[in-house]
Amino acid sequence: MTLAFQGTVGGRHRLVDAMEKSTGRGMYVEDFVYPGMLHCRLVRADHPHADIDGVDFSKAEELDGFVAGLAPGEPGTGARFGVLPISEDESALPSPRSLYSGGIVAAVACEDEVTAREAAALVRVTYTLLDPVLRPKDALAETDCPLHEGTVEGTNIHKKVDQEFGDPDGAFERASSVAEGTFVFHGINHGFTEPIGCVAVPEANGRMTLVSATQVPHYLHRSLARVLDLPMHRVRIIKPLVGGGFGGKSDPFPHEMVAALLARKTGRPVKLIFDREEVFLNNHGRHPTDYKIRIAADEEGNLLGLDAFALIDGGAWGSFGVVTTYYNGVLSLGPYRLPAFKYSGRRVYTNKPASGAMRGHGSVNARFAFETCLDEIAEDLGRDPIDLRIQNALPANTTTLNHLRITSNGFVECLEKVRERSGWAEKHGKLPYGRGIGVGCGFYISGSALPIHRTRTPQSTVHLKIDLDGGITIHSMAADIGQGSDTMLTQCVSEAMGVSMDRCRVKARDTDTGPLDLGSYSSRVTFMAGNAALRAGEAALRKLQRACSRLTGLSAEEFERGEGEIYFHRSNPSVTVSFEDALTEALADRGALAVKGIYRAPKLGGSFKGSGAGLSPTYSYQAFVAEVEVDPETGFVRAQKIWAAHDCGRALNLTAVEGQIEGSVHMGMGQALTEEMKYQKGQLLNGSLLEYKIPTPIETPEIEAIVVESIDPEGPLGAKECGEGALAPVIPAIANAIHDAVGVRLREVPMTPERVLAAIEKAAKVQTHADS
Amino acid sequence: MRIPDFTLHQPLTAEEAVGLAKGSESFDFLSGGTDLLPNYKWGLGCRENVISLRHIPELSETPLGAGRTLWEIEHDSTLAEQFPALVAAASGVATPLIRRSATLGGNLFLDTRCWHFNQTADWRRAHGSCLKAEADQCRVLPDPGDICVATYSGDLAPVLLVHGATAFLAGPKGERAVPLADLWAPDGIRRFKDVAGGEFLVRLEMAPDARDWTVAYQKLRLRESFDFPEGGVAAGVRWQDGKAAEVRIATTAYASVPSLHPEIGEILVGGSLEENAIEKASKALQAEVRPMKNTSMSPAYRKKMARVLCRRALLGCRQG
Repeated sequence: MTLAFQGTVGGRHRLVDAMEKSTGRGMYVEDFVYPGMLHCRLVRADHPHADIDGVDFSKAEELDGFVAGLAPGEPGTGARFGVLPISEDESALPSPRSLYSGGIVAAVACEDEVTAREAAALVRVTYTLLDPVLRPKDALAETDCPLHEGTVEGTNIHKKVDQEFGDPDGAFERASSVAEGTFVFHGINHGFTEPIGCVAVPEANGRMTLVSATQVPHYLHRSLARVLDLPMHRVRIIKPLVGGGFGGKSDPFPHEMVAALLARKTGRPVKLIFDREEVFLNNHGRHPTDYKIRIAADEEGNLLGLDAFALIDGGAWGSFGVVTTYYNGVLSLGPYRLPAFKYSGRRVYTNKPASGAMRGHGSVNARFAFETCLDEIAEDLGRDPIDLRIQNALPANTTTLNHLRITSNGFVECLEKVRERSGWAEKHGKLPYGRGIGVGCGFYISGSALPIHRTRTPQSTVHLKIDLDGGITIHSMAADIGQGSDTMLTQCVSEAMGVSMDRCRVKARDTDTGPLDLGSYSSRVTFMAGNAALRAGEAALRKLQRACSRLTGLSAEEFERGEGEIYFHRSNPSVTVSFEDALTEALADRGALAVKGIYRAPKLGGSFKGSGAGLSPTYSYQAFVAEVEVDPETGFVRAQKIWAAHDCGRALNLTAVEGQIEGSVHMGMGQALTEEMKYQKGQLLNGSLLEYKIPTPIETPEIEAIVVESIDPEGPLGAKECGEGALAPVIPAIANAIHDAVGVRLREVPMTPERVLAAIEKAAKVQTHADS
Repeated sequence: MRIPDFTLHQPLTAEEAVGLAKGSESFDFLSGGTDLLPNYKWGLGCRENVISLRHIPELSETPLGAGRTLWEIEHDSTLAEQFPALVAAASGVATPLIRRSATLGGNLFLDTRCWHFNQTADWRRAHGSCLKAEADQCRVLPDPGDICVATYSGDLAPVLLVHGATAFLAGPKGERAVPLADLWAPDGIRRFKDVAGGEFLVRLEMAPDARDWTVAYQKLRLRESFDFPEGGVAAGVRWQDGKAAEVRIATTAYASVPSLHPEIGEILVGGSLEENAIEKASKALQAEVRPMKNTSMSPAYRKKMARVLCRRALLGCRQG
């Protein structure tokens, strides 16, 4: 009896690049060295807002080893680019103004790094200082001198969103319970391990190659071609191994343009690797935000409506900010049924490092506010917070108010699992003072359905080349940034073809050979590139089935994948053909197999303004429970344990899914408790890993990752995202646990000891006052 | 980040080290290097000559030799039995990796820190530098005179002060002993009362009665690894017939020097650390410390926490 193929999905798989990384053989951008390579260092602005009057390289030029400088006004330095075509407001160098302290003003290229550092320090920049806009509320006012063209009505508002669905005013009139508050979020940075860097290599034939630590080779490709004024086919992007991104490498950046412009100017390769401080100054991390929210519920606890206003600090540039502004509203329409919704968002420009996309983009801050208010409603109505959430959960196969199409949905299962595993019933409201337990939930897109550029090109394409050696070469430009996308592609292809993963090798690092893929952002890779890989594998399988048919004279479509890399005939199971024999036949007279698969999201959504925001072919769901200990004398919060249930559709690789959940919990804990970018007069005060407080392993609690599989009807083998959605629930789960522990509501993150203690003391004062 | 060029000297004896220092206008002594070299990377106080003390056997030969690593102290069972608070303080410094290199001498002689000083050269240029670096202006206080208010944040000093330790220094005039309490001067730049430029710490010795003291150390920091203390209180009690015959309270990270607070210890002498006496002493310490706005946490919070740290340290000194 022939065994059916046992498959390469599900279970646990080592990431395909694990060995090259752990042995140090893998190539990160820092490892790229070219003959004649120069080293670039950047000259950074001393002031938050200034005109650049002059850049003087004369002292630097005296150094042995100085080769070239790049100053504002030189060709290409003022060309506009940006990740979103609707706000291309960045340039390689100030054009005309320098917009934040620490922004790039000029650059030098020298024979070695030490000389380059010395040279950069010798460059003299003269400034005319301008009044900076540092507080978001000041950016709302009209001004004679907005930071960018095209702002809203003469202010520094970059993007304005006003949306209303249903009857929110009526909802609040009818409500039995209303929870409201203003929540304050400070800026945070991704804190990825590998600093940003690139090497620009001018090719002999006039092309430009850029090796860069990027999540979005395609958007970089477009922007660099624009800045260099070259057609895209004259530009090549190489994405080597990348040591983490989390959204912080998902824009085309000025330094990449600077390196390429210097390479063109000198005719030599130019390398530029950031120091950690420069990573913070480049930022594009989560937006500092003031979030004002009201939620209404009836006396049975049914949610009636949401009313929210977000003032979002975008910093110097647009980046993904238009999307952020929408997401702060529309992603609050799940995972609960909401019959009425009103949202206004204002993203403003200020003279600080730009904010951008960061893990859980656009949903995290709004989610904290929403889930905290939900807890307050439960408290007000005397309801269990988990019961209240289950009662209001969106069902599967429905449509939200703003036309988000809901298909697979494991939300209630997530809630029930964490309730059971955490011992919720015995703990909530019953632990001694100082200990508490809280719940927080989440909802996230699994790939943005709309591509950033209006085009009919598929969002993901995967090519396979299979030749006489029996190996399967997977060509793609899905960007593995450590999350395991190369492994996912390997699993999808080998699963579809019924072969071992060892046969596959992924070539996903070079735009010259990899077919277009939009890159690693919006949690799109597994869903989109995974589907493309699966379809490519299926196309290859069909060729092998036909080969089996030619060899056996039996019908092609009845040949099925069998265990041990064979194909067996369904009606005559004793007839088998090995993969090698099938391949040899398939190659005969035809040569190497070349097949492809594509993915394009279905048409979704309504036709109102902003209807594209938040559209995704499917969504992930989360429910987390946190148990914490609060020291009421110091305000220190220690997370004891987090139960984290995440609906990822289907876990293609359990190890990778659990890793993403654990990583998200850790990162969310940072925003919840310790991480904050601090500024004084527009200058970043804590641009180092000593003073920017990422939680250490000691602060990290035991994490019980609970994988919920709702088997998505359109996901590759049922899978959907697991890299981002699992961040947002951590913060409200901890905050709600703090409330359970010591009875105070925190509305500002990070919930530092100082802020927690202040809340406890304030509550005690109120109590004393009431008692007297 | 690149460490600037310097000449590394690796003397094998204390005399040789002293001679090298004498013959050099610009030098630093290097012990573990875990603080000095990061500062060099940021262009802070870089010298042309770096004299490593690593290879001088004398510095590691005694239990409290200056060259012993914090890791060695952390894992020294004799010290753990005799001076558990010292071992606990050592094991709470920075991270396990750093403790493998960092030394007792380095931690004791740790340079002062300040938000306006421990920054990159680019940062200092943009923000404006300070007294301790290139400029003649303090960024913390409007008019501090020529005194620097950078914060001392060594963890071992308060415990050693409570134990009445003495420092043995080698220098151009030979070896001399200085009671630890007389070592520091309240200035974040000068740091020491009369330590000559060419002197370095060879070893410490505890006071003869040091083992009669029950000592506990408490510190404040946001993360339980990596972070320097933002407040630290060591309390020590010499018990006699169930009463506190002597009490010492010492602080770190509240000023540019570690300090003993004799009048606060006095509050508790003669009693048996009753709750109200502890509270009184702790409140007095809170009133006495004057943290500056130059670390991650606010001065108001650090000051408030002095009371909690003091109380908890004293509770750790109770008998039985």
